[in-house]
Formats: sequence, structure tokens, C-alpha cells
Amino acid sequence: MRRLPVYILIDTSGSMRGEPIEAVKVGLEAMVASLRQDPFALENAAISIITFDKDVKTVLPLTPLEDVQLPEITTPDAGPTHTGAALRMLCERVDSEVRLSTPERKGDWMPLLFLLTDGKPSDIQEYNRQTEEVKRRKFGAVVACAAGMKARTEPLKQLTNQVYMLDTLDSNGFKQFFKWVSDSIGVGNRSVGSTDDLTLPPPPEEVNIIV
Amino acid sequence: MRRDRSLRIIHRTVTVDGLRQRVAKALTANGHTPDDNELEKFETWLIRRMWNEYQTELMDQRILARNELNKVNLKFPNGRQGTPYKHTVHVDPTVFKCTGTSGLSDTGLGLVRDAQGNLTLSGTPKQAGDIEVTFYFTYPGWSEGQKYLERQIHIAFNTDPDSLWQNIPVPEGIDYPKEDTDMKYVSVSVWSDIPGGKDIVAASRRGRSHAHEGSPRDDDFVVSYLNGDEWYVLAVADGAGSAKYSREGSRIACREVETWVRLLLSEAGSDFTEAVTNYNNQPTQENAVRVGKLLYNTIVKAAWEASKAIKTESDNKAGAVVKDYSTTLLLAVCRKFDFGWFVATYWVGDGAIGLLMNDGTVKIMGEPDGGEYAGQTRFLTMPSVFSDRTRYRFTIVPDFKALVLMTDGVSDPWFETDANLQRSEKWGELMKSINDNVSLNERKPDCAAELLEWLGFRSRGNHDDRTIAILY
Repeated sequence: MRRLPVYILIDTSGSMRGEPIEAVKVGLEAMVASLRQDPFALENAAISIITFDKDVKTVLPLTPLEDVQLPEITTPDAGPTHTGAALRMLCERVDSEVRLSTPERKGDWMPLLFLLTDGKPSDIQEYNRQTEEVKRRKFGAVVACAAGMKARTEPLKQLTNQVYMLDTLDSNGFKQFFKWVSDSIGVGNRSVGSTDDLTLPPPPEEVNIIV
Repeated sequence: MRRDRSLRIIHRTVTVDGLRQRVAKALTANGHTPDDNELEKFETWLIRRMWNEYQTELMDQRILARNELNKVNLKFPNGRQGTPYKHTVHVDPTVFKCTGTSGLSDTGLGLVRDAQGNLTLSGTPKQAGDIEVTFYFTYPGWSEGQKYLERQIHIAFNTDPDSLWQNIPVPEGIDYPKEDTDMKYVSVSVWSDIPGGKDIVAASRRGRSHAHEGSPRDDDFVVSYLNGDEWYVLAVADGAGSAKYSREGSRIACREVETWVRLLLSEAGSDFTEAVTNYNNQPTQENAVRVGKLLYNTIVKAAWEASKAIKTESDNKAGAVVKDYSTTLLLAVCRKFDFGWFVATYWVGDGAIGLLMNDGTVKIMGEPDGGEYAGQTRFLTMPSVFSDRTRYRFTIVPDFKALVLMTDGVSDPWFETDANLQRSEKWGELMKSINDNVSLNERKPDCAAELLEWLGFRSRGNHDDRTIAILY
């Protein structure tokens, strides 16, 4: 069975504590519920969620959408944002979980990566190294979302040219973001035959595109 | 109950009185004789204090028990709406005894408990969506009247994906409209003079994934037989789902390659016949090279001309680039000679061409172009494919059962991997399914409609356009 692997990296540093992280959870729930109404996604999508603050946790290993039960997501009181370490974990997981074609096995679709952060990487050296590692792996699309006023877009542009900005950390914004993620998952599934980056659907209105 | 409680009160009174006497005795031995008032005050103080400690300990016990309970594996997998669900977890009843659940009413599910601590949720989920179920447990140290411990779990019941597919018509007025289905039957066996002549049946249908979003069919095919030169021509093409005009790319590829290959084969005429005959008589490297050269100048050139025609179309279309017309192309030409059947193929992209022999074995007439990931392949519109000189193949066989060309919409569900493509039993399964549904043996034009119907088979995760052409 060919899967469409979807990796979602979520910033859980102290500044996300409280309303922002609750809004993210609501957004994730809505995303999963809406994907479950999409026959492509239901048959093919597999989702992984990795959270990062001072620690990096794979709170949901790559799991077929059908079997997904959303995990607990917690935030520490304060502390650094180890985005670089999160990308390292991502690469490790992609290397071990995403299946490439062999004569005896059909490969997965190219994985998609969505990264959501409200700040900037604290481990900047590691971050610089790992953005190169991410580029070495073939993602169908990499989308970074900078949420809130303190989020820095420059480091994200190093990772991908698809960087978007959410002005506020409320549930409406995140819902729109995850709606967009789920729309992209549909497109990813359908983008048969292409070796190029997939064409993402237009971002929601709440999201500002960084040129 | 009543008797029970009175017994307990008596027991406590006796104990406390015993305690009071013992306290009095101990104090007297130490030189202080307490009066009743003092003893009562002391006793009240002692009971209150011990009671508080006892309560704290109970609370601690409950917290410890809750932490323990949270560690118990109480995971129920997701299910599917309308499909019977049953899952059992085990919770040691000597530690945590389940007393019941809430949240199951109207879900179609129920809980069954047994003495061994097996908790089974079973039934047929009525609705799709998430449910939250609360399990209640007693715990070590729990006594009647105390609150149970709770554990909440979530289970999602998915909708059957088959019921989610929509069939949306292609909007009117799009560029390059194309019918959702196509089919053709080419009758040769009945009419022609060739003994043992073969027929062609072909069909193509829009995939569920395209129907779901109202996008047109991107596949195409062409099949024909020309009485004059007796060449059979079959081609199938799969326009890339990600390219906006790929439906036209596949159409042009098929039409042009047919026109050109017929022209070039007829130009090659007697040269071709001679080269093939020589090779059949003496299968030397030299004779093979001569056939190869002729093939290069006929079928490969035809494919090249088809790719040029696509380029011309994209040049003439405002705002279009050649990539918008990305398509695969699988071509086969076939002709009967006195000594047997000559079959030659040209292959760009995924899909499959198989030559099924009468003994059940199969010859794969080329190699599918795949990548590391699903959906990666090569297209006729990529200039690099023409620097590749291994895309064409030929063979001469005394006879064969069927020559089958298909796009990946058919080959993915039936073969899945390149390795399986080589396995004759997989081809056997495919042909059995076709024969069970299509009355090929009757050699009637109705077969095309039956084949089209057969193409609607269900296969999880495989919903691309499907096209198949069979010479048999």
C-alpha cells in the first residue's frame, strides 16, 4: 500500500502554553476530522506529529489516518525552542519510516512536511545543519508557518520558500492553517506522475505569504 | 446492612473503651492519674488526628491508584461505521475492577466484562465520528461509597471510503474536453484472410480520483488493424495527473504515433519483411541489429514525431508549456508472418506491456520507468527519453495468447511492484478476472463494453484512470 506520509512539527515551547496550544489542538482535531471525510486521505494518508521545545518528542509515529488517535500535547513552563533538533528527529524518522520503491515493494508518495512555530530556533547551528539535511531528502512539499508577532520568518525561509504567517495565535487562524494542510494532503495524493514539487492549494486568507 | 453497622459501632466502642483504660493505666504508672474529662478530651483529640491522617492516606492511596490506572494499557483501535467492531483489553481485576462505562448509549456498541478482567467493546458502530467512553474502576483500598476512578478513551469510527467518492461531471467548456470513457473492438479474426487472425479489444475509463474532483480523464488509447499491410497497432497513454493539459498530451501521443508508425512501417515495407525473415532464419547478432535499426527508424521515430506534435501544440497554446502535456506512451506493433508473430514495442513511463504465451508464461516487453517514490515516472515529453536506446524491444513467437498493454491505473492494482510484473501467476490472476467478466472467446464487439465495465473494479488506494488494450 502506497502511503502519503505527512509530518507535522509543532512548536511546544513555553510561549505556546495556554490558549495557543489549545488552539493548535482544536485545529489538529478539525484537520483529522475533515481528512476522514476525504476518501484519498482515508485510504492513503499517514500522519506523524513531532513536538519540540527544549525536548523533541515524536508524540505520534507515522500512523495511517484511519488509525490515528490524537496524542496528548503538553508544553513546559518556559525554555528554549530546539527547532534544529526537531528537524534532526524528522530526518531520522523519514529515513526509517518512509518506504522507497524497490523491485519487491511499491514506494510511498513523497512525504509532506508542515512546521508550525511561534518563535525562532534556539539551536541555530544545529538548525542550519539540519535544514540542509531536510533538503537532501525529497519532500513533496515543505510548508513553514510562523504564528504570532514574535515568530521570525528569516530562519524558516532557509528551510523552504513556502513560508506563511499567521498574525494571531487563536483557534480560527490555526483552524485555517490545518484546513489548508488537509487540502494539500488531498492534492499530494492526486499529484500522480510528477517528479516536481506539488502545487499547493492557495493559502487561506488569514495566512500571509512571505515573499 | 443495618446489623452490620451496629456491629461495627459496638466493636469500636469496645476498642475505644479498652484504649481509654489502657491510657489511664499507663499514665497512672507514670504518676499522673487522669480524670474522665481529661481522658475524653485526649480521646477526642486522638481520634480527630488519626482520622485526618487516615483520610490523607486514603487520598494518597487514590492518587497512587489513579497514577497506576493511567499506566494501564486501555487502548481501543479505531473502527469503521457499519462494520462490526470488537476489541478486548485486559485489566487485572484484583487491582482495578471495572464497574461500568458511560458514553456508549446510541453508539451501537456495548461493554462486556468477565471475571478474568477482560473488557470487550463490541457492536456495530452506528455513526461515523469520534466517541468518548469513560470506564469506571474500583481500586485497592476503595470501599463502598467512595468515588470510582475514571479513564477516558477516544475511538474514531471512519466512514467507508467507498461511500465518500463523488462522481462530479467535468465542467463544460474546458480546453480539450474528453469523454469519460472510450472503448473499441477491432474485428479481424472473422473477416480477414489471415488464418488464426487476432482481434483487439480496448477500453478506458475516468478514475474515481478524477471523478471525485470533476477533472477529465487523462488516459487515452488507440488500436487499429490495416487490411493492406496487416500491421496491428496498439498504444495506451497516461497523461500526468499533475499536468494541466495532459489529457491532450495523451490524445496527441496516441493519434500521432499511430499515424506515423503506419506511415513509416509501410515505407519500410519489404525491407522490414526481409529483415525480420532473415532474423527468423538466422538469429545472429548482425540480423538482430538490422531489425533494430529498422525499428529505430519506425517505432522510435514515430514516438519522436508524436513528442514533436505535442511540442507544436504547446507552442500554439497561449500560456502553455510542453510539461503541461506530460504523458506516458506504450506502443506495440504486431504482424503475422508465415513463420510466426512479430511483436515490437516502445515504452516510456509506467504501466505494463506483457506478451502472454499459450503455455501460461509471459514476456514483459520492456521496463516500467519508476522512481524512488510512488508517482515518479518519465514522460514522452522529456527530451532525455530519446537518448535512451533501450526503450524498444522485439520478439518473434510461433503464436501467443494475448498481447496486453495497460496504463498504471490497471497495472498498479494487479501487479503493484516491478517484481510482480515478471510473475506469470500474477498475469494469470489478471487474465482470469478479465475472462470471468468479458466473453473474449465469443469475439464479439460487445466485449469492449464488458471490458469497460470490468475496468471499474475496486482496489483500495488505486483510483487512477484505467486503460487496457488486448490483442488476442
